[in-house]
Amino acid sequence: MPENGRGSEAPQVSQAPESFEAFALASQRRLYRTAYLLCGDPDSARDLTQTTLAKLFQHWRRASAADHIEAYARTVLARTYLAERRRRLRDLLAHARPGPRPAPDHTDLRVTLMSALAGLPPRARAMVVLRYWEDQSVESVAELLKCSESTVKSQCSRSLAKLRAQLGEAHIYATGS
Amino acid sequence: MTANMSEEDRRSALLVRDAMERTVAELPSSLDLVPAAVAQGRRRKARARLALAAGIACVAGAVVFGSLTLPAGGDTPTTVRPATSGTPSPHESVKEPEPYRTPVHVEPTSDDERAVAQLPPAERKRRAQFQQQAAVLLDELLPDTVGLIRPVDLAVSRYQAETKDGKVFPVIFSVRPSGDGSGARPCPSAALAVKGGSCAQATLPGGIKATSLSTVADSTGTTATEVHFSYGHSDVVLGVVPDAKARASAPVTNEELLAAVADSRFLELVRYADEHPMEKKQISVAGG
Repeated sequence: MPENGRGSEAPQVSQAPESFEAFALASQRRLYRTAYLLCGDPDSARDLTQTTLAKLFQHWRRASAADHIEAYARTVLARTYLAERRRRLRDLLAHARPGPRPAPDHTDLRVTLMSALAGLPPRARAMVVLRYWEDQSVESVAELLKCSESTVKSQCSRSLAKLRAQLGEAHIYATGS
Repeated sequence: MTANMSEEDRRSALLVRDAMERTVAELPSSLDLVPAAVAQGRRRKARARLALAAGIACVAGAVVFGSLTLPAGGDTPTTVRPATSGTPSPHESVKEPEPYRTPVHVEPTSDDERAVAQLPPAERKRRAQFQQQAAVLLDELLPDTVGLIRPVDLAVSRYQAETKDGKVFPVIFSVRPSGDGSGARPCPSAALAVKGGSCAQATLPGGIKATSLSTVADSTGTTATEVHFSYGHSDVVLGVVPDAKARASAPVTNEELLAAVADSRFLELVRYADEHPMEKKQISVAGG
């Protein structure tokens, strides 16, 4: 498996781009994919990506001056996601309407992954996505989420165990192995 | 990624990563969020500037006020007054927004409007504050093409948006007690398609089902767009009505309205209106 599975699907913008539009065009798909893994549905991922890009546009002078603009964008995305989840949690607590949860007893890999990720608390989910999808180091994730490295390690390990338990069967089915 | 990991964690990480790659591979490849992001970013910038200006104005006002009212010292007797009334406002959860929108005045013509005109001052003030907050928020949530949104006095569910080129779009934001859960409507797709309309549905935070309808008026060929959903014991409607005089359709799509009502701040306003109703429990008058 390549170290960065996203390398072939979106151009990497490591230098400061000429304009916001150039950066956004080059990065939107990668941000959208990460957002999808964080949110779990395409519409919310679209909203999260758009809000992230809007925030970058708003502070473009500062963002474009960052050493690693992609890391900057990733930070904005993750923190916007967590802030949104906190707001939603407040809403849910205020207007709780119990509804049917999706049944996990199917073997479709995508749905199983999303169901498994949805079972994680938002912060743990962000850690998993940043660590195993975005290939961020423990140190980077800890800095981004403003917590200790040991917290990242322990949360990721626990989350991995949960994900593996749920993914195992679906993955075997999907790969035919 | 897998350095310094136990063998089990390493295998789990590879499994998760592989599942993630397969999952995102199913996402659509075409995506253009840049124009919408630029528009949203511009609005964010404008709001930030407005907030800064308001903050500066408040500080300047406080300094001037303080310099005029604070005693300069000496033995002059002064009267100490409470900073605010001792009686709490009945609507503390709805705060006065910073920018004030001058309401559009209507002379009371219907019984409802006459009844509102005769409400106690405290209740009228409560409704006016709610409308102020709603107008400012709707201005932020709806596209710029809708124009500046102002409340209509004597009708808590009515607002008016005016564009720079003079188009006027009535806006409805109604939270009407019903309790029968009929707010979200099914999409009448066949009938809408024949008439050139459209429909979209979405699930709002909290699992609330919302339906947005764009309908074409037979007489003018213009389009109105309205979203409906149930919240608590109320039916909620947010809609933009065409400018009949200018024969201009409501400049908002189903998706834009659904995005607006999904905003947590909007739902907070709905929650307040549901808990503290301001409209009569009836269904026959749309948006009233």
